[in-house]
Amino acid sequence: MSQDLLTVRNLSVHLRCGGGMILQDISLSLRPRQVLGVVGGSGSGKTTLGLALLRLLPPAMEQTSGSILYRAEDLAACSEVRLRALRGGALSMVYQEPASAFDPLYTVGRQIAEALEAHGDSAGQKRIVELLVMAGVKDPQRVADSYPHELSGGLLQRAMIAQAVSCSPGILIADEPTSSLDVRVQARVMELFMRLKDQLGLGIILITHDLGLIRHFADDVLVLDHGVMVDHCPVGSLLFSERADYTRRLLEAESL
Amino acid sequence: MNQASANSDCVAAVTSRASELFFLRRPGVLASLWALGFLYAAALLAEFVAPYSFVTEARAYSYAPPSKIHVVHEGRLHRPFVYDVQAAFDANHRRYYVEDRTRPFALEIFGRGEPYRLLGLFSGDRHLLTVREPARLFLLGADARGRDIFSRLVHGGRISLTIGLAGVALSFFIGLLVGGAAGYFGGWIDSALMRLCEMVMMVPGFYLLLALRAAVPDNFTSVQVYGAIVIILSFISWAGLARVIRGMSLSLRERDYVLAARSMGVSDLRIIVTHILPHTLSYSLAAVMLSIPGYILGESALSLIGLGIQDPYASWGNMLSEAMSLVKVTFAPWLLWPAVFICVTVACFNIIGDALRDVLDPDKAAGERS
Ligand SMILES: Nc1ncnc2c1ncn2[C@@H]1O[C@H](COP(=O)(O)OP(=O)(O)OP(=O)(O)O)[C@@H](O)[C@H]1O
Ligand SMILES: [Mg+2]
Repeated sequence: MSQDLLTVRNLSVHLRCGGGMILQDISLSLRPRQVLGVVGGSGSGKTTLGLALLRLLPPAMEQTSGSILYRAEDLAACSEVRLRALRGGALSMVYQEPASAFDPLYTVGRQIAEALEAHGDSAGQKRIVELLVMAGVKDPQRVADSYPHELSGGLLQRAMIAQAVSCSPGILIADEPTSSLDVRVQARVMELFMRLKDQLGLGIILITHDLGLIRHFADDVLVLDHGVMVDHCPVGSLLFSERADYTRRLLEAESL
Repeated sequence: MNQASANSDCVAAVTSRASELFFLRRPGVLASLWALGFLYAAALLAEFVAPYSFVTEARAYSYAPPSKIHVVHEGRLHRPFVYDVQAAFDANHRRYYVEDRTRPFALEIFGRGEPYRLLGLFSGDRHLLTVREPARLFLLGADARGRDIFSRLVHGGRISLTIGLAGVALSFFIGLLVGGAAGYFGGWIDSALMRLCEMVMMVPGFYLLLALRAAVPDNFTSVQVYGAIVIILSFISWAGLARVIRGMSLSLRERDYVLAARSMGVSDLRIIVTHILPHTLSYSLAAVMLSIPGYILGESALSLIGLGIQDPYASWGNMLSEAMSLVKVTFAPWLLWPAVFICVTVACFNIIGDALRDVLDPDKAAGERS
């Protein structure tokens, strides 16, 4: 338990003012260098789970129960200042749509620097170039000096990953990180994740609805159906043993 | 990907439109820019542009009409000149001025005149256009104390033209921050700030202006009065802007890059300043232009009723207060020149602001392209 990076117990999220349930009783744990896959249909609450871990739920939602422990520190008890230090510094998130995750008014380098500065790190050009190289960017200086609209989705995704790992977080939440990329780029970005995982000792929460990705890259899998955790098991057992109905249907749908 | 191409589309559209000088080709914009350029340049270099200072009195020339510029002296062509004038009274004891035709006083460009310190920094005694003593040059006539109206207008521009800029700067600072914070944070912060805005907006502007002015001590120096007017005027007008900016940031905070910045631990203030407010610029830039006239008119109104800049300091508003009596205006219609300057300035800012709003409004621009 103590070597766990992240422990979530009975996390529930509801819409405010007595609204409907979004997530119910989610429990999970994550160790360094572990990849936890989260699968589920559209609207099943995968993104919400990621945001809940960062304590960045949309204003319409609130966490109604459960605890989130990062290295035994309860996020619910953290002040806003402490949370800000933890975001990016402990947990960070990579989003689905690389093209819209950067502000069109600033260069990519400037925005990576902004994240570094927020954590009091030196934001020199050298550091930014280093990060981009680590994220597998071939001409880092050009990418750093480009505006988001000048770069391809694959490059932007790498830049976003560079930003996400810039403040050496323990956990990277990747919300459908490859769904807007073509298959070839997808594979390279996934390789990048795996490399960073080993290099930096990251724990990765990989949100996707692509069971193929999960099978390839994840160690454990958590299956969500309309906010309910219907399965949580090692990937190996996803294939063979008796699984929940919903998981079986997902598996069947995939094999069509 | 779609987003990326939409973005580059948008950027391409903006740059191509910029290269066509789309904005400048709108009717009146170029003329307005030139007019404002001249007015501001004149105000900046007032001591040099004006033949006299704003306090120089020549009691013998009370209500002297605009100087007539002649080119023929005693039947011969002469470089442009004026005659000295002298007051005389008709049978009804009404004053009129007769020219002393014996001696021409040539208009001198860069001629020597009253010594001055330009902006309090550079001393000199050359003026753009002047005549030798004892004649006086009244391009736009003289007021009751024989002060040159043109000189006072140019000097008054320093107050009337800058009060708008100073006021706008202050109220935009407040409006953007309040609106940005209200929209970004939402919840009780939003409610509290918006109720405050409504309270300010609820009171009719001019009464609020009077009430606030009443709260300012009478013994202020003119610099203090200027500052007080700026603060009062911006206090009245930040609320409207704040409400619009709040609406815009309410939707801007949903953008992915805002969420991305938040999840990297960037502070709220920083996000508001770098990722929210700059995106409202297209609106606020036009709003800036369109709100400057309000300040100019506000200052004029205050000064007109004697609560603004005090004589002998000149502002277009307090110069106009001399023109409040019908008798004086029929007798010396040139007292109305400040009104002309106010109207021209206000019209120019409105034309530029309108054009700016049209050009920057993406919906309208899209409509025009399709
Ligand atoms: N801002 C919001 N306000 C209210 N409800 C929301 C909001 N965002 C999402 N929801 C609701 O929360 C539920 C979970 O949404 P979420 O985005 O987490 O799903 P998801 O699993 O990420 O879906 P997808 O695969 O489409 O990304 C959905 O039913 C959605 O309608
Ligand atoms: Mg999602």
